[in-house]
Amino acid sequence: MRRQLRSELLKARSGWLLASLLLTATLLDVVSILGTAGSVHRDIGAGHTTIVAGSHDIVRLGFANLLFATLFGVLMVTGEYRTGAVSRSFLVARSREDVLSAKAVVSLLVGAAFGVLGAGTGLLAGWITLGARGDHLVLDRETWLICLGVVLVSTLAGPWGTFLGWLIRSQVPAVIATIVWTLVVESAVSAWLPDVARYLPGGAEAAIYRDTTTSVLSMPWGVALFVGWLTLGAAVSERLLRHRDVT
Amino acid sequence: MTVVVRFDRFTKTFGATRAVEGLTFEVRAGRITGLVGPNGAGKSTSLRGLLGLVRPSSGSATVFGAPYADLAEPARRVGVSMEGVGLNPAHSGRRHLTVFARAAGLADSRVTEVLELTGIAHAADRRVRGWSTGMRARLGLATALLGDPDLLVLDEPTNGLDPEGVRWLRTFLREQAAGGRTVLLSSHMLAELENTVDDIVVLNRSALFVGELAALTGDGARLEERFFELLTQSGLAGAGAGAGAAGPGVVTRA
Repeated sequence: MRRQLRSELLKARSGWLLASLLLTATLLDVVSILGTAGSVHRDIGAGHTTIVAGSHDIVRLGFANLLFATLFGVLMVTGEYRTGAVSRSFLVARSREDVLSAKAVVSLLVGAAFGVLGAGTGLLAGWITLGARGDHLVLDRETWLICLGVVLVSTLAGPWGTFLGWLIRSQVPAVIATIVWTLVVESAVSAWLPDVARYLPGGAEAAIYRDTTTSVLSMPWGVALFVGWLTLGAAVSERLLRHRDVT
Repeated sequence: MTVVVRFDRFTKTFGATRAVEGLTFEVRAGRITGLVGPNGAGKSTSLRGLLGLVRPSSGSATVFGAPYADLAEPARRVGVSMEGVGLNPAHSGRRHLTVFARAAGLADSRVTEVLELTGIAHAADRRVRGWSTGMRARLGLATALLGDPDLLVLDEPTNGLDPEGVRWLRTFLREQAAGGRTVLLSSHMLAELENTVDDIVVLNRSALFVGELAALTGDGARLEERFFELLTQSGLAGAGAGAGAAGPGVVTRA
């Protein structure tokens, strides 16, 4: 397992995939924070919100990195199916389970990097953009809990992406399915059936980053639920890996 | 002589298509065995079955007496170069080899050794995307050699190689066999196989011939001639001769 991890870590930091996803995620975080800081300033002036709530909303925007962490996990697996390198990975590894586990662990580490970057960007860009308008970012207990949630949710989103990759295998459909599921399907379910949506993977993720716009579980229950989804994903992936042909 | 590879009534179907049927043969240690057959004969499917990449519908295929998945150190026992066992074109040749050397628990210095052995050290730090087909074939071979394995499984290893490369490969494989290694290779290049292999398996979904090359071409006939005779016979027979059920002109050894 240790040698498979070394191999997968080297793959992860080879090429431009990781760097480009990190850069894109950060740029989008900054753009969304710039926009939100402006509206927060107006809303404070109009008495519609407070600087405390506004600070929390801005820092929470780093949660978007979870999508990029998921995509990294998806691409980490499906990229190997696309090039055929997955066959080589299986041939060299001591077992297919080693490959599955190593990719999950590496994507967990990469997910943590996305999370730290998301939380850091939220804090730094929030401090700069609010400060530029004469407001001050509030760093209370809730702010730090949101930061923890942003880190945690991206960390867990990495392996979730690899399991989606093992399930779908084909790169383009896997990427489309991930984006459509995250941005369209779960949002729709959340709007129409909120009591169902809170138990879906996206609902669990929202609970982890302490979303306030929808009816979500508490943060600890969100973590527990998402770990449950991860366990299910791992079990299904492992079973499919053992029985599917690699053609 | 030790049996390194054994196919025992190996059958693989994909949906309604029977790709390989009742394939039975053995590869002995220190020998070079050629697997030949027309397109769609099941050569690659058989090799992928041997390597555990596809599961047999019935029968079995084993290496060193066990399914491939049961090998404790697969990269040190079996080296593989075959179509479909790909590489990331965004990686350099050196990075590609280092990735798999680490997975196999090998020192990074082994990467330099196989790069030099296969004559691609000069291009090692360039991205594989820009490599010629022949250089990629050499990289596939270098990957197969990483673990200094006892068995080499090569699928169309001469594809893309220039004449000098083909001659180099022939000499290289003979040296490997002389050193006690076993080679199982598939190829369309019958004339080249004739100069390289000790044993031959003619496949058209099932084995049409299994035995020493000399037994097939001993009367002065060329391999190409015998190959087409066997295919014609199998065509007349309808579905080819099953291993162990030898018909006229069919030799089985396993």
